[in-house]
Amino acid sequence: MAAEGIKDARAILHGPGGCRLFFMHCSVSAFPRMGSSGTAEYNIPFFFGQSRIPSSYLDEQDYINGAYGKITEVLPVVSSKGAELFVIVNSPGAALIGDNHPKAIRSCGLENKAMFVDESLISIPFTAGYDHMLTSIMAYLHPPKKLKIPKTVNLIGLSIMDKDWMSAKSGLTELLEAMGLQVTSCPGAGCTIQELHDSVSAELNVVVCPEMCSKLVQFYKNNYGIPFCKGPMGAPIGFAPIKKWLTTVAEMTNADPQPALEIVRSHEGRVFNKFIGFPNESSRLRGMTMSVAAPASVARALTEWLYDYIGFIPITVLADPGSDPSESELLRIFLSDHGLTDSWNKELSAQAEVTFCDHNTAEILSVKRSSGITLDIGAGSNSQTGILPRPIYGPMGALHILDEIICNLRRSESN
Amino acid sequence: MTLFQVAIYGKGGIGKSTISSNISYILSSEGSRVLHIGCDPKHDSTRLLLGGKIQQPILSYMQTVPEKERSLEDIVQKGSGGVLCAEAGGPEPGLGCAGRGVLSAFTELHNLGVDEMPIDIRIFDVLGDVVCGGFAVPLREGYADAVIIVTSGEFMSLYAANNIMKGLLNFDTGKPRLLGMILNSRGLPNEDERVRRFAEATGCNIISTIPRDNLFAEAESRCRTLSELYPESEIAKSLRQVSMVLKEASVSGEIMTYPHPLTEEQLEDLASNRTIKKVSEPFQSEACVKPFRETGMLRTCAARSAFITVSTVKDAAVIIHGPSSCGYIFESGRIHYCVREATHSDPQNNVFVTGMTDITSIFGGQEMLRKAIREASERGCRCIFIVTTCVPAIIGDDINTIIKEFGQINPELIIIPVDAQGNITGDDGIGQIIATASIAKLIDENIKPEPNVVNIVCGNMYDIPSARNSKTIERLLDIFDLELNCKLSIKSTVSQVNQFGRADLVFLTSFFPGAEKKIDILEKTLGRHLNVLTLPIGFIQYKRWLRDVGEITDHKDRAEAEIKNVETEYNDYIAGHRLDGKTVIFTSVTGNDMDWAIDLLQDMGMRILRVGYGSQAGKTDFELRTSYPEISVKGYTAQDIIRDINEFHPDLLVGDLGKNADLGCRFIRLFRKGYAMDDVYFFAEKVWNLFRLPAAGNEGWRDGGS
Repeated sequence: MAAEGIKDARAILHGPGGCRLFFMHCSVSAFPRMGSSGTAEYNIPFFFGQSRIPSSYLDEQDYINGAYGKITEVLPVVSSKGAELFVIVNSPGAALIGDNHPKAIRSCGLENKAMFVDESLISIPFTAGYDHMLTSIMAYLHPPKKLKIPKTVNLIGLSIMDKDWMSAKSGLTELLEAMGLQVTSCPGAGCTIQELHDSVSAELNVVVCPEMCSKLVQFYKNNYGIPFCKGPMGAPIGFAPIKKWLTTVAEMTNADPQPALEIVRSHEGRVFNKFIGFPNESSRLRGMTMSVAAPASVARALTEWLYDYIGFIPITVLADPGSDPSESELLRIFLSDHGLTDSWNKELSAQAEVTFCDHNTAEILSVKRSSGITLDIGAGSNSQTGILPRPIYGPMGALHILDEIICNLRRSESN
Repeated sequence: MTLFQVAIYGKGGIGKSTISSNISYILSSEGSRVLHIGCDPKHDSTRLLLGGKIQQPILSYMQTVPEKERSLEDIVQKGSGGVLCAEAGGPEPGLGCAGRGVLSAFTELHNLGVDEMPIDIRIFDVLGDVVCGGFAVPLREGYADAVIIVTSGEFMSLYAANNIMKGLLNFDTGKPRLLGMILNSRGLPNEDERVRRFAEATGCNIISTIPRDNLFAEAESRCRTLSELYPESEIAKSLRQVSMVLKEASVSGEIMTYPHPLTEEQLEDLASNRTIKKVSEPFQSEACVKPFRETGMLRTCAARSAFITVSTVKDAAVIIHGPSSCGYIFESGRIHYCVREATHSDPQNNVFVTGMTDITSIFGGQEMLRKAIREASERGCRCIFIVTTCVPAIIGDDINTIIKEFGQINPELIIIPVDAQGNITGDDGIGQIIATASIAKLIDENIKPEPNVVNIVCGNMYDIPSARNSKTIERLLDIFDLELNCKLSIKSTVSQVNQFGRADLVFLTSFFPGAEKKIDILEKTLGRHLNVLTLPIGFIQYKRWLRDVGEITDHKDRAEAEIKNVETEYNDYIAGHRLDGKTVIFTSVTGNDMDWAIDLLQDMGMRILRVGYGSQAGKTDFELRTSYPEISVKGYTAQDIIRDINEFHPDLLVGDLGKNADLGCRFIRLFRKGYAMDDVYFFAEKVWNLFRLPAAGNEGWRDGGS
């Protein structure tokens, strides 16, 4: 999915056809980019009418004899559909047979446009896999060092599997631009290969979700001397964490945060006007219980913000596998300091009035329980078909979260 | 000096480790900075360099030490002569995938920064033969710059050398890399001559001949290399010759060659001391010529649909034995098809995933499976299905032995394997059949059938078990006072499945290629014939079904009364919705029943041009169940659809894949969602409305693109 997060790159799945469907669906729904010609031009082998993530369609014999030949057939067909970079990713089974991808790439004359990932990434967290792939892509592209351009940053640690990542990206970019900063690249979230080449000239890497980019930021730092900063309150989710995030970026870039903070305050004002005009609304929210399961930086921002902002009581807080250890520890300390230690690292509770979790869990909870509000916030969400902005990150994300809670509250209470 | 990497291959037991550790020692003592990496699971390559000390293998280190705590110093040790030593390690014999282990060990070395170490020469001592892609890793680009083969004059040793040469060609990097052979003599008659003939025929140099000598054994008994203990011996001199060649190769690649591996006939000539005949077609990498077998678009894998199907047994646990990602994808499918669409459904939390990792795919996942079974059992699950994915299938985890172990400990625990993993090109239909066979193992074949009792069997997992459908089915059963016994592969308990034999009358939720095989499995389990009727949709099917059930239950009058009610309403509707003369093409990739919609559109006056069924997982030999065989075709591809649209210009295309909406023809997606007359009017209304709109492709939203 990280390769698919690059606008002019293509992931090629080296594996059985059955492994393709889920990722193909995710890619198409998360990052639609079909041209006006529609799907008809993809009615060819390896695509079979679907534009994204062609597969080598391995069969039983390939697992026994190797599937080098398949890759040499796939590459010319796929490359005929154009891209600046082709990334071959092994399915878990294909990772065991050790096909000679470098030779296949060379025999197809794609040395400068095709790469592969040989490691078996099975059962590692989504965030770590995303991070690993983007780091591998940057290592493959190996852009030459460039002079740093002042007041330019990369927005890093956002994935196309984050809920409404496009709105999140535009919202966060708007804030940074308000501070006089230009976003050079957003690696893995709709950037181009050229933008990745340009990204090495940025002054700073501004981290959205640390779990999604811990290796990548180190890569930039070690190879290009680009420092990074992350939000002191976790990911930029909710007004307070966003403001802290902006202030930190401003300090690192010597920029004026006020214009960006003003944008956040205007969104806060919208909530204020709503709550002050209808005190019944805010009073109903205060004291509600919440559960969250997410990467620690996301869980921390949500927990701390909602606790302070409207008085939510976290009853279960679960940091996903692959969470940033420092974020996990800070979250644990916050809970401990507020007498909420019992909630730490517990499985999601069906008792919570509001639950923030991944898409699958949200679906199950929504069926299993008659009351309670469930918000699908996690990576892996495939409910990307809405049109209205529904991000999690940024000021619009804060409004979206509050809106979902308020609008579903009455329905939930009536059940 | 630029890093130079050498892979030393040869048949097992030929003396690779002894020779390679000697070479490493000599190179190091002559001033080169050497890293010696053993790539054999038995991890004894560096023993002589480390004074007999057993080094911790990289793979077992990865098993025990968390990623963030790992360090290169823990797995790279300095041996005699300053040689840096590392051992890949690997699984116990018969378990896991040692080949993958080599790849993972190399990756770990890379991740820990081995490339930053000041090394001049890396020596890879590689397991015996190139038995699989994993053991060929050192041959890959980025690894061996040169390859040395250790052989004796024994035929099997030369046979292995020949295979290594084939592997080398399969992993050609675009420049010659075979440095030559080392003849490690066994003292056989004519040994030198035989190896010379082999070398000549394959175009390979003999770098050095090492005579058979007890000095090797003496050095080994003192856990040292011969070159360290007896540097002035003749053997040490021969080995120094290798190091000289190797250093020369590191400066100039000109002495390296492309080998010409022998054919089987040529090897036979060699073994029989005959002249090795020339061949017109020398060996070519077979991997290059294997053609793509067009399998068509799979909607899912067999293991996923098998998982979804067995998870319909509510009080059973399901263990997915495989990577967590497979678990996530399988569960997404279950939620999508069985939870989200079914508002009254009751999803269970009895799903476990073993979460096989890179490491467990190397060492085997059996222990993880045992753990998952114990956990499911401790949570009170009395029946467990084990769905295996590709990874344990490829590495050969022995599931049945584990099941037997638990059966001996707890005879009450029912554990059923769901063998879908081998069907890599199998689609969801095959997975459902496999799962049905697994579920059927719960059926008590001794239970006798009772009158007026009916089972419902899921024809296809995409038949939506929604609340509306359940109500419709209840209403249909009520017409004939039928008692519902078991809803197999829809929603049932272990005990309901056990009692399946109470009914001989079976209502299939839909006829789907593969549904017959499911029925066949059930009939074989019970040892008797079942009276199977497919639940109807559309007026014609409904009428037929009512009469059939009326006949079976001896309630013909009730059937006719219902037909009369429905017929009047249907005829009135059709009379007001005529589409006379309009033409239509039907297409399905799922093999779902389309007859009801064909009947309906014909009744509305439309003319059917073609009914095309796509291939089922690359196969076209499935039986078509249609009332319209004369206009139906199998193996109907996407290209066929486009061709027919261009040729016939139909007014409407009906299909079960949304992607066909973009073919420039008015399109409606066909779903089977309901029973009896539930969706008939809805579908008819949609078609009717489509003809009240301009042709497809003119919608205003299309102007919004850049």
